[in-house]
Amino acid sequence: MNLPGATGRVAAQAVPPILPIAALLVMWELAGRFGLVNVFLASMPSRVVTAIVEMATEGPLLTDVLTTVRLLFVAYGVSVVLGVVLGMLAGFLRKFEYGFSPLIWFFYNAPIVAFIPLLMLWFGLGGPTIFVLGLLFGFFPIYVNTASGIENVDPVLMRLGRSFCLKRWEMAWKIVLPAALPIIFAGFRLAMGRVFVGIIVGEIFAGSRFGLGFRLRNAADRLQTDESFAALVVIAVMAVLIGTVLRRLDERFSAWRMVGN
Amino acid sequence: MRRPVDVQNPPAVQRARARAEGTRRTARTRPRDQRLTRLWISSATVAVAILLWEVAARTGVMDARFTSSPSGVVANLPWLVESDFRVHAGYTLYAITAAFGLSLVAGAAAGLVIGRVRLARRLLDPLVTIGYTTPLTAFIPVVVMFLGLGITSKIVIGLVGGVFPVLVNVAAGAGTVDPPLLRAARSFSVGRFQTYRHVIVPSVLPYAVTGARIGLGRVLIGVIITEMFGGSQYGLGLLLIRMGQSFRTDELMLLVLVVGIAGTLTVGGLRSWERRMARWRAV
Amino acid sequence: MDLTRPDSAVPRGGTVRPFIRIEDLTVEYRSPSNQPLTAIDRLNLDVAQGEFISVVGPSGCGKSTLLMAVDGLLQPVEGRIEIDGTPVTAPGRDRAVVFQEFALLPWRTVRQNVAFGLEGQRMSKARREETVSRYLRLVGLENFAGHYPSQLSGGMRQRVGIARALAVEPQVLLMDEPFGALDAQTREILGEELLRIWDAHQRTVLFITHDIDEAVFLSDRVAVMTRRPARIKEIMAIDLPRPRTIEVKSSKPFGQYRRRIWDMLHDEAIQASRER
Repeated sequence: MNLPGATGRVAAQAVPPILPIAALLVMWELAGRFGLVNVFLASMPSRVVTAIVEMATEGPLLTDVLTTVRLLFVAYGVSVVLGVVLGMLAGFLRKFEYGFSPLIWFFYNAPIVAFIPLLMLWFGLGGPTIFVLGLLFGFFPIYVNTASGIENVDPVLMRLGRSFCLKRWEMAWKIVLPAALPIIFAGFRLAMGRVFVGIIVGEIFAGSRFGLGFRLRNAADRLQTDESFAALVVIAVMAVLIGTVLRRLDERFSAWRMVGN
Repeated sequence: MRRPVDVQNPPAVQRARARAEGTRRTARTRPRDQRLTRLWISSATVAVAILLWEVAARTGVMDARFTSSPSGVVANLPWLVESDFRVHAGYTLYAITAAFGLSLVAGAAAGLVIGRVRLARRLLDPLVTIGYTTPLTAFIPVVVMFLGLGITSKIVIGLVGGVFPVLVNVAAGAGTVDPPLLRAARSFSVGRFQTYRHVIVPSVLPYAVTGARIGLGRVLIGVIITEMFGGSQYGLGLLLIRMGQSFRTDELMLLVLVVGIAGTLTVGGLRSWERRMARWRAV
Repeated sequence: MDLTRPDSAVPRGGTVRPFIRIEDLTVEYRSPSNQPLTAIDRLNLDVAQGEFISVVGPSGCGKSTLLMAVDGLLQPVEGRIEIDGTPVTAPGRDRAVVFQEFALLPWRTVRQNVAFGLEGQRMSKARREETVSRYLRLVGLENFAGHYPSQLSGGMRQRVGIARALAVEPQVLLMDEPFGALDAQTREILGEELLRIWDAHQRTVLFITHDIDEAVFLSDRVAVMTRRPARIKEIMAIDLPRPRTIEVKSSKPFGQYRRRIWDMLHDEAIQASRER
């Protein structure tokens, strides 16, 4: 399976991870140049790059990015606030959690995309629908993680609190919340990626005038392959950027985090 | 056999004080009672919500043309049977099954390789990251441009959606097979295939189930969204869009509930299986 | 002879009235199928003030349950517990617990952990800091005040736990298998440490353990618990002179005590494993 010991390790280190992507891009470019594929259908890396530059300098790319980012932050912010508030309610007051849980379970597991036509019916095209979609994608991980973090505090710590005569609010403030924080933050990080997906989906279906998702849809509808790939690349780059930032935050956070008793 | 009552601290006072100070009478809470309470409150909330919905629709608080009503939804149940719902449902189900099956096979195979061959991991890591984190929907316009509006596009998008979670999770699982287990296998001269079958695969299984659960969710989304994209001839996604566009709210709501519940049940089912697997997981 | 009474003990500075009185204590659990399980059945035990008493017993017999009842976390179905004449109904400032799993708050420093029990009390910040420092010094961790639990070894973490419990200056120190999560060497070292620390203030200590050597080494008396439903099988007075050092563990009387208790426990353990 593994190349024998040392050889395997050396080989792994020597090969830069960028190799496969670079290789694919080169093949794609060559295929285009030598007419192996219909360039109007399949495009080429060089044309895609040109398209990106055009869209950025003369076209609406910047506005698109800003529109998407703005919606992203608004939807994320509201998700966090709602998710944390309701999550805390559910975590501390079991009765509430029981009440919410069927609804939550339904939305958490159901394909949210099925709601898109409904949302479009209610809110029409544009901002509101996209925002709601982003909210739907982002709220649930935060709610579930917050409630779960609060409910699953190490029982020993709970016993500690009771043994030292902590009042109920003291227990919450001194023990439950700090203990739940890592899980709650994990929810925050999870939600960020999901809200982004929700926003892009919203823009593709209900976007108007600006937005990365809208740009992609628009270009594809006009059968402009170069522009479509350009938009896709920008979206992918954004996605990877967000993912990387989150992963760094995760690592930084875990280093700080105590492994506990 | 009761002790003589302490006059200054009769049991009633003791119990009241204990209640006030939050101690519990028995050492452990009763799980069965807890489950019943939970069921009770959950059902009650759902029932109340449905009731409120109906009332709101009837009294005009919510415009039933937009929000439908429980009675409207139920009244349209026959429509599921009478209309071409079955055709569309079958189409979607076929696409989902194909995409999910392919995701499992490809994802598991690739995951095992990536998990155990360091070179493969380094080479494929960036590709996997891009494929996994990019919103699935973003691929649709491009895929449709290439593959047209038929079922192939749906299956491909579903595949792209489902393969990466499976791959990543299987890789994680394959990479963490307990070294002592592997050493034991080697010292017993167990052949490579046998090792796979009896040591690696069972260790990887819980991870695979997690991957499958996430993957299924994404396959569902991928297929349905591609159907919604426009120009598709069949599919539940298309049906949803059509009902929305023709303002047939009752049918739309019914569909949303059906698809939603179907999705919840399947993904939820996998989640339960996953939880059961987690119990014996060493990690 | 009523072995539950501390007449046979050599309590240090003890008074005649038992400081801790446990009378006919009966504690029940509910099993998952809602069947009531009697963990402790009419247990009687008296402890003198300033006494160090250990409770040993087979695994799962309810030693921790007893401790939780004394701490006021569990309400008995029957019987009562009194400390210095006052009935126990809830946790209180007169008792402090040292936990087997340490139960340190991972996001707090050592200093902040030790201060934990003092925060509920009305005391000036200066006085609180001074108390914390004093107890940190007592357990030998004054140089680690700013560290986090994850940076400490198991033995050090438990010392923090001990300091935290002592800082509230309780009447009774309840120790729930405090060295159970530590390796054998650390356990021995901490055992000696504990005696040294205890010597400084002589609080009443109720010490739960499954380690017979530990029990004999540390205590004035050792109470042996039966299997579930538990009660006290026998109490043995440990007549070894204090201050004790590790050498005493190889002395003849020590061996005899150990043997006696081992025999008693052995019986109970075998019966318990047969019933499970």
